[in-house]
Amino acid sequence: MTAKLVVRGLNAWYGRAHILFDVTLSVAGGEVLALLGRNGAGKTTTLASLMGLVPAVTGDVILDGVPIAGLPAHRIARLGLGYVPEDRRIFSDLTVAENLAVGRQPPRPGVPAWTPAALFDLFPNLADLRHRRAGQMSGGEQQMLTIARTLMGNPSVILLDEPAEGLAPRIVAQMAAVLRTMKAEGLTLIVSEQNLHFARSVVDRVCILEKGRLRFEGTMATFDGAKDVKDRYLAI
Amino acid sequence: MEFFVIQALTGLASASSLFLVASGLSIIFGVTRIVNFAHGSFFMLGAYVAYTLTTAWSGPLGAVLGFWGGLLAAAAVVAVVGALVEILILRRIYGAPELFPLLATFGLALMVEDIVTLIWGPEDLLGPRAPGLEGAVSILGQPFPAYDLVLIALGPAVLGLLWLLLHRTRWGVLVRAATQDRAMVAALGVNQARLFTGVFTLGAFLAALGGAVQIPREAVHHALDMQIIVEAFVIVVIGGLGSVPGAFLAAVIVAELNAFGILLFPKISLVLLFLVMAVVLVLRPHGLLGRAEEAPRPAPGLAQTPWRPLGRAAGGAVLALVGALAALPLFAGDYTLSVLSEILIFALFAASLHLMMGVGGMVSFGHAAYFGLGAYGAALLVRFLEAPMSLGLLAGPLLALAGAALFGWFCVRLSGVYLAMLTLAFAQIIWSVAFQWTPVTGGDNGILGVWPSPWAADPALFYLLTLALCAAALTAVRHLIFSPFGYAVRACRDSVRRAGAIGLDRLRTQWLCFTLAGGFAGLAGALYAYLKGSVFPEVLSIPVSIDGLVMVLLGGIQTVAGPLVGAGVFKALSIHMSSETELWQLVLGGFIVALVIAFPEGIVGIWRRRVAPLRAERPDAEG
Repeated sequence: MTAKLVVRGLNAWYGRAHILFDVTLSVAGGEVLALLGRNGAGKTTTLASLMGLVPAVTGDVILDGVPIAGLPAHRIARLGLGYVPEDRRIFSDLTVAENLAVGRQPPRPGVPAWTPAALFDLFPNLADLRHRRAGQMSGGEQQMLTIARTLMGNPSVILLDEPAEGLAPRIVAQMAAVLRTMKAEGLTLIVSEQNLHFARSVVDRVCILEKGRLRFEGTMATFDGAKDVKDRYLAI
Repeated sequence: MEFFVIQALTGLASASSLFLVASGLSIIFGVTRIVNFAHGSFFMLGAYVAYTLTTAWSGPLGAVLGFWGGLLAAAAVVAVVGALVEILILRRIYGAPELFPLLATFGLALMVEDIVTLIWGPEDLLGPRAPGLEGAVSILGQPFPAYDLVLIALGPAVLGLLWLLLHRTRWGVLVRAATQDRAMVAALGVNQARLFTGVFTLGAFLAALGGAVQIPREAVHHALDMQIIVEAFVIVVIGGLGSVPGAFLAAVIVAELNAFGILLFPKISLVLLFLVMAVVLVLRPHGLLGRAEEAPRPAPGLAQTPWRPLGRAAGGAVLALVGALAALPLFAGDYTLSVLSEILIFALFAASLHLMMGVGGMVSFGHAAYFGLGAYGAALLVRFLEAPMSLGLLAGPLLALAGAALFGWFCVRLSGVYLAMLTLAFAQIIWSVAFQWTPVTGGDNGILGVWPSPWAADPALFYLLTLALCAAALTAVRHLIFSPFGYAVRACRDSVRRAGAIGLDRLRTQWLCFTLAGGFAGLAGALYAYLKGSVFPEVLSIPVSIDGLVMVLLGGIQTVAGPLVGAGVFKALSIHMSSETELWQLVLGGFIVALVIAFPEGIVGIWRRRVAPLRAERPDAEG
């Protein structure tokens, strides 16, 4: 398998606070990578750094052979990297349809092209709410909208930051189904979670961060066998 | 009755122009978070360019096409200017602290004032009448200018077009999305820089059109910008930041207040506008149609470097500086000493403003209120009780303290730009009291004869007194910043919720900070009164507040020593320039713009980040 996204020696700072230390990882095309770690381990910073949203970053990020570290966020998005932020960040004053319009980008060769109609099939709840102001929807509906909005940009790799966080169990199950669909469409995913729960059924490989450093990388089978790793870096 | 109808219609006609300006300001602020001080300049440029184009074109193109084409072309020309301003200047400083672009736009506004005088001369210009609409129509038997009827229709028409633009085009949807969360819009692949340029172009177009349509109604002159910018800010705030319908509603309210205020309440006509704004903000902290803003996302990477008390070396340097300043009367003449006294006074003023906005996180657009209260506190005591200077120097700060306590109680209940605008409203209220309460304050004529007591009458002695008091007050401010109270204030600034969670009473902490900052400004004001020997309403006016802002931002708001350096540089420059050149606004404005681009963290900020680390890795070399 060829590497779709390669991250080498990623360091990030907020002001003078050094957050990430030489994070190195890669994900192959069509693969789903879980990025695990406790609260504050650096998962959000890692994903935001890849997306170009953290100004002070060093290291290499290569998407489809193109170096993207240091590019402005909109260029990175247009090269096919999608981002589903942790706190949803929907545009609450805009309607569902308008939120989708903001995410719209031209189709990309070799990548599934999404239309609002296709997305309303994937997220049936949203279809009935398309003229509703996004701020008036439930948390689960907002999370679905965030993913739909990102898919409107026809990305080839999607970064999802704790997408099941704070959702009701029924919605979490739906979210897992959505991830399966995206994987089936051939999308490459990096999903962050505090511990491996909801994404388990789709994940191919696992990375664990602790205090801004990569502590473990391995397949699901290795991860499941490594109880000491889980105890040390994930148990609370 | 008929008269009131006519007056109301006249108000509506003015409202249209105000709405055009305010809507542009509101959209620009919503998307870029820039408080665009140059917006009044776009309005004024629109009027001047329209004057030139309509005059030149009415011959060759015919009266009708020449006039209306001239108005639109003028707005288009200024829109291009707006785009260039965004691309060449503002784009370079979006990463800077939030208020820095304000400083750049202020510098631009200064430059434009001199540029229009250079191009069009200092005289008032009377534009052509609208062809076919020169006359009056009869409404309820009263004559009413036909052109004003067109203006009355223009406001709602533009409101409708803007609504269509913002809701029915993808560009408009992007603008509204960016108003909420521009980083997320970028992460979805939208080029922010182009969006900002577009928004700025649209805003400049609207402002310029607002100025252009005024030329048949009022003379074009080079002070139009300041007149309109204040009203536009008030309208945007009353209506709710970022809300275009709110701007329309507020424009109508403000225009009608202007139309009727002078008739119904002539004694308080000047203050009416700001009274209304203060009442609206106290009752509806986000304006009439504004929505509560989500807590601003702290921009990653802009975290402040923690402040540290002076190290031994830096402390020694400060002592040496004070010693050198104290020795100056041995060499310097009276004029130099009085200039230095003024700089010292403004250093204290800037430090007090920094205490409020840099340390407390409460940006003030009306800090002149407390400076002026200090000055008037001293002067009134001299005028009515013939009190000696020592009492005056006590009374001034006390009056400022009381004023800040009263106004601060309301202000700390707001945040961000709304708080800043409420401080402006209070400052303008105080200003108009000083201006219109002639029996007590002397009104425009001010209070004269506020001279120092005989023991300090010699300029050298007064300078030494100023130095001693300012040094003492600045030391007190610094101690305050590094005291437990100072930590509490900074905690409330950095995170309201976390500060609350550890048991800090935010309102009380910020109120106390606000009040103390007012008191220190009052001391500066009282000293200023004795330095000048007189007090005029100008000490309370907007330019003084702006000077304070410029000094703090120029020095670097995220540093402790910045305001002092900023005050020294700015005051010395402006005193020097105004004596050297007629075009001092152009030079000073250009200097400010250049500084902002070169040092987006302020003078001291750049020193700390670029120079200090090269000298030593010692962490105590901070200031």
